[in-house]
Amino acid sequence: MDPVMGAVSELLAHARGHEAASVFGLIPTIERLRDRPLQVVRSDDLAPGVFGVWRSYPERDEIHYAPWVATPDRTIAHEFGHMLLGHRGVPALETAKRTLPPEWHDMASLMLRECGQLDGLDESLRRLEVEAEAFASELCRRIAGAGGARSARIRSLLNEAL
Amino acid sequence: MFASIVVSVLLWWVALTRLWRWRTSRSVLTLGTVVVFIFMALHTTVNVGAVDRLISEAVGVANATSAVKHGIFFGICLGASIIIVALRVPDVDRQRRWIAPLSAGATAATAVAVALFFSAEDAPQATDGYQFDELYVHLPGYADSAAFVMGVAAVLCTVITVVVLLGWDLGTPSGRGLAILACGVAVLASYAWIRGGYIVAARLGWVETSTYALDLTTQLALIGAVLTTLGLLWSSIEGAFRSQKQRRDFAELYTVVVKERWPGVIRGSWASFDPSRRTADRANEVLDALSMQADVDKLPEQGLPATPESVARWVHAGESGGIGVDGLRPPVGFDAVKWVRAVGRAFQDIHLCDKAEMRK
Repeated sequence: MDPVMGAVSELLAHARGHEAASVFGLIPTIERLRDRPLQVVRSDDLAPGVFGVWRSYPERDEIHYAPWVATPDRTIAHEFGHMLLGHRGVPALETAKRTLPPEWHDMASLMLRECGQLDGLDESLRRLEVEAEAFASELCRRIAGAGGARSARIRSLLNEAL
Repeated sequence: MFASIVVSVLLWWVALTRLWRWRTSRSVLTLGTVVVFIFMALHTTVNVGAVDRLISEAVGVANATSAVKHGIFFGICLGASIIIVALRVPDVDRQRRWIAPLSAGATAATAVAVALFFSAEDAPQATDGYQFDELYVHLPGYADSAAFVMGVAAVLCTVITVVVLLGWDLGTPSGRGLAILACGVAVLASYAWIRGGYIVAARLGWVETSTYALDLTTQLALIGAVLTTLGLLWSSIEGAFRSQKQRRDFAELYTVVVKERWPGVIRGSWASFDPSRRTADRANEVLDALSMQADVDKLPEQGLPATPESVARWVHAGESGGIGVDGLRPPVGFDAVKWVRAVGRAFQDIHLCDKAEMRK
């Protein structure tokens, strides 16, 4: 089984009523699936160049996206992908890059390398990003046209067969 | 005969491609689609004269192929029922729990149909399914079995038609595919109602036996199968023909904003994605690159209404003309590819004008 296709199918199979009409509409579906609250927030304080970020707290999830993003749906769908594909939060270097000013990035890399935190990181991180992006691409394709249909749920599910 | 073989090949193609999709997602809806198309393909294959006779000879009972076809029909009904459950039940585990009872129901229905079929008095072997229907389908036993099968198929096809109608639109390739699919299933529903109605009426002696209804429903079955197949394949066909032209329309814009200015937004497409999906991914990379540019140029979140030309001018010369981030988003009625194509064409026009100016 392809984990990305499987995760998108499972998410849409759980959608009710008109939830599958848009990416934002799927927030309650994910809350039911993960049995915890999910907040999606437009955020001005993300580091430069960061489109969006998933923050996982012990009792809730938060997705923050930057105000300059032209396609917030796709950005949020990408973060949904991280959540539903079982990815585990943001690695140390990524966190450092997202939270520190750019001029400190080299210093952060150096310190993490000194602590042995950078071994094999790039490839695994790249893999997770590719998976989350494929999830976003598949989800956006599956819900395309669902907003205009009489039943968004039926349309999003039938899109899988088409 | 030739039409049956062509439709059979088409149906096997759709069945195998949906089987591949089911292997990747394991969703209940795709399972239902696979079951429907495998049994539809089997049915059209069995309709081929040589296969029809081969089965009857192998079973050793005259006209046994028609009983086999009734079993195959319930296979199609099983797939249709699974699809209805997948569309109506909003919980994957509950959907999966329906599969065993539905399979048991289809098996029991097949047993009833076959028992009714073999309760008929023996009739000489017909040359093919059409001749069997023409000569014997109204006789007791055969008619009861066929009417039972057609009744179940008619109800299920009608339900599927209504359900599919709830999802179609003409604004997207998959929506257009659904519209064709809805017509196909509606034609198959009419096939089942007309054929079932004729068999019941002939069996009860309300009408004289005639080949008119059988001829009509044979044509309807072929048309329905072709439309259903075409509907499922439509999105892929449209994508394959259009994606190359779409990519060409925004190739120059892609080179400038993605490859030269913001290569960090480039992401590989998932290995199994088809050409149209890859084009959509490239269009989204352009939108991500425009977002990065908007951040650097400090575009406001809300700006003046944007056109493809104003966005292209901003990319080309840095003059925003009052547009904001909201102007970079695909407008209502546009998907990412359509919007990026429009901006890409405007960008090409500006470059062509520049080149003409330089020549002067």
